[in-house]
Amino acid sequence: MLYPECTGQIESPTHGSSSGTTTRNCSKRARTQLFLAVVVLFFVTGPVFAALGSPIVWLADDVSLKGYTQVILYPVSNDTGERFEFDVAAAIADSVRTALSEAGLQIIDHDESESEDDALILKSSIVFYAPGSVGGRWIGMGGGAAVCILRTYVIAKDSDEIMGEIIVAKQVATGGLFSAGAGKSVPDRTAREMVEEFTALLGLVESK
Amino acid sequence: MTPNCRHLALYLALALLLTSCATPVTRTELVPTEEKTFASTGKRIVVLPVTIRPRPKPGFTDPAVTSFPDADSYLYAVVNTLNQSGLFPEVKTEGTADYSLSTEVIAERILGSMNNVVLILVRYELVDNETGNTVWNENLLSHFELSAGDVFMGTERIAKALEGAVRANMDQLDDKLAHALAASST
Repeated sequence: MLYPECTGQIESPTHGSSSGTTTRNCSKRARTQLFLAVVVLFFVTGPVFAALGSPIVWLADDVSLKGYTQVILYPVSNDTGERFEFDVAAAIADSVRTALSEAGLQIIDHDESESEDDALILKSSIVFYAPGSVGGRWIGMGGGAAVCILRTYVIAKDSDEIMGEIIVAKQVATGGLFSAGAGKSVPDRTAREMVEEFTALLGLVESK
Repeated sequence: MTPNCRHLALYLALALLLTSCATPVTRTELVPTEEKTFASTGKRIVVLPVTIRPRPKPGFTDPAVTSFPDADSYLYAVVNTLNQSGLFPEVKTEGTADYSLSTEVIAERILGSMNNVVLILVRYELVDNETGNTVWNENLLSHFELSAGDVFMGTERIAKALEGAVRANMDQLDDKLAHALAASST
């Protein structure tokens, strides 16, 4: 046994008694162990969360996207080289369309010919997708993280030049059973965050 | 030494041991290992100093030991990748040459904790110094994934994943350059 003197010491510390002193020692040891376990775990797991997953937004020099209202949507491509349980690209395309529509933008399919010259083209591709696992997320530490990385080019229709790009990476790393379905919700959240960034570039909303 | 002190010393030693594993990226690991030899253009190139956009402030759980490659490490990777490609008979970092290549690291992102994905976005611009025209410019996005099963220690895993992502970027760089130079010469 690691600390035989701790056996049976469950009462509150009693000042002046030997049993109270032992309990305080045990409690202190437990706290120290817990603290050290956290420190060790901290170094075993990689750096996580916080600012590191924020979207990447790049705009070409001297470019402003403010004032555009028409968007030509191209199908979302899957550049991962992998096939998944469901059509992730189609799900993202649906989410993008819905979010753009909610933002009040005029959406035109890429194969329609009625767009104006000053429309913007959006071409998105899935760079990385992992549905993860509920079991892994239950254990935590990001073992079964659901991850989706989406890259979107913003292209000027008239010049066919890339004016900017938005890269959004989202993940659900914890939650266990509460995170069931994260494999499907993460692509949706990724698509919606991409549209948020895009509409911020258009000046329709403020950037986060 | 009391049992308390012994255990405390043991845990502290373990924590220190784990911390000391936080190795920074190794420059030689930033260069692709697969040898690709392209036809030489017969032109010299100067690789300009690499610029890195300000990185997001580390979050609460991002230890300060996370060591992103610095500008010199990126420069080392670009120069050695170009040397290895055989595209240019001379690759230098200062002076004049037929072409100049500028490199800007736009962003690096790290995702996950036990499974890490590192993303790197780098902008390159190749200029023909004789005409002043841009021959090629593009943002190259690369990523690399590593799990705790591959590399157990988190900080070491991040360093390895960063190296992998830079290598993947360099791997695209020589392909794209070769393609752009071939297109510009026709």
